[in-house]
Amino acid sequence: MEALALGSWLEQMLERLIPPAAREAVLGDLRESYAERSDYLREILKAAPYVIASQMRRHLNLPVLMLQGAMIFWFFNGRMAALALPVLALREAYQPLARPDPRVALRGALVLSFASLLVGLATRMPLIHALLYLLLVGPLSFVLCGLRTGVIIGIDRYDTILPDAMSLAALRARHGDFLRRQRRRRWLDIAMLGIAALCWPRLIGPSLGLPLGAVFLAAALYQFNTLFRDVREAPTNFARLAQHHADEMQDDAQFRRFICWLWVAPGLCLIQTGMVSGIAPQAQIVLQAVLTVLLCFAAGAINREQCGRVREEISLLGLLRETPSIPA
Amino acid sequence: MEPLGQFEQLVLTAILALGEDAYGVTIHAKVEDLSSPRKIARGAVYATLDRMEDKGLIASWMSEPTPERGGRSRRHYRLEKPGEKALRETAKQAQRLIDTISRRLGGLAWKPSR
Repeated sequence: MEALALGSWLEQMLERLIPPAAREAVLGDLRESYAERSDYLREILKAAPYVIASQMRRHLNLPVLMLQGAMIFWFFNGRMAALALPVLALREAYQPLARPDPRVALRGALVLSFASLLVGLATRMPLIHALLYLLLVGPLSFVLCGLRTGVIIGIDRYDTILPDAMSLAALRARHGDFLRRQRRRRWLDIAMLGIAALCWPRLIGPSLGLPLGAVFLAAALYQFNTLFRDVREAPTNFARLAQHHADEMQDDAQFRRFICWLWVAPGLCLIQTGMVSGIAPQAQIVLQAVLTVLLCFAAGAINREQCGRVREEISLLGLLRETPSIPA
Repeated sequence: MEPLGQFEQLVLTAILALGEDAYGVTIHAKVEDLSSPRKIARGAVYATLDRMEDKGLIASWMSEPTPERGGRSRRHYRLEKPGEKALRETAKQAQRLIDTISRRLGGLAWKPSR
């Protein structure tokens, strides 16, 4: 019984090695080919490196990865950036195909709040500080759950509506709408990122503000470049147009994820440099930790929900069938 | 259009030969058959299929799930027009090679396998 449970657990772990975008097809093929569990698991291990490398190549957006590396370099150091880049590239290969289940998301919020509580209490502190810590961090679970619920409801307002089938003309129109929205958002990004790049040295001091401003400026230039680089004509074939549309949505989603963290970075920096002053040092540390957790949690939650919504639409585009266009 | 690599030629030929029945398992088996006695890694086939789909040479779609696959769907593949054109170019190149070799080494007893 125990061996069965361990084997089942091992099977689930190895199945998760295959990135979500390829999991259905690859695991189905292996299940069809190999009846013996040991053969099935061995073949998963043999196929996994190729499939992971292929998905990394498909989902890699090199300029955005460089921008992420620059931000990590600014916030931490070069070694951390060098370690983080392969992890970020690998993470792109494992993007989920849909939005997270709300129950799983809320459970994650509860786990995070209790983990924060335990980590804090594990550090030795006087009783009065421990009570203060409990007072500040105790309600954290409610705050995180409320925040997560708010993000879920907010993204729910933009439910993906895509029929099972559409004509080539309708797909072209949908693609055109997306390009127009994307263009408007890019101009807005360029303006806001450019202004922020100029303001950070004044707001948070030149030592931190100048490198941060450089990253913001690089992000603005990236968006500027994507506006004016050679735009390939959209494919006229239905399947290729759907794929092209999905690729563009994916690139845009990757950049949006990075931009979310980029806007959070100055806030984290201000917290760490002690914007909260005039209170006892222990309470200051606790407050800094709570604010950091809240900011990072909010950014992570927004990214997971938005990314999940985009991935859902990309999956639906992959299943889209063509119907004949109605002649004028 | 950039020329096809040797492995890409094998995979495209397998998809052409299999028609409607071209999915991971059958494509891998066909590629192994075409490249016999060389053994082909299944993962290499998947990576090549992804690459060619990104190039627009093939397109894929998901079928209904089946019980023998643990309730999972198959990803079927078909040749697109650029893929057909690339294969025709490959066939022309192969024919030119055969013609040149036959002219120069005409004495060789070469028999087609089928």
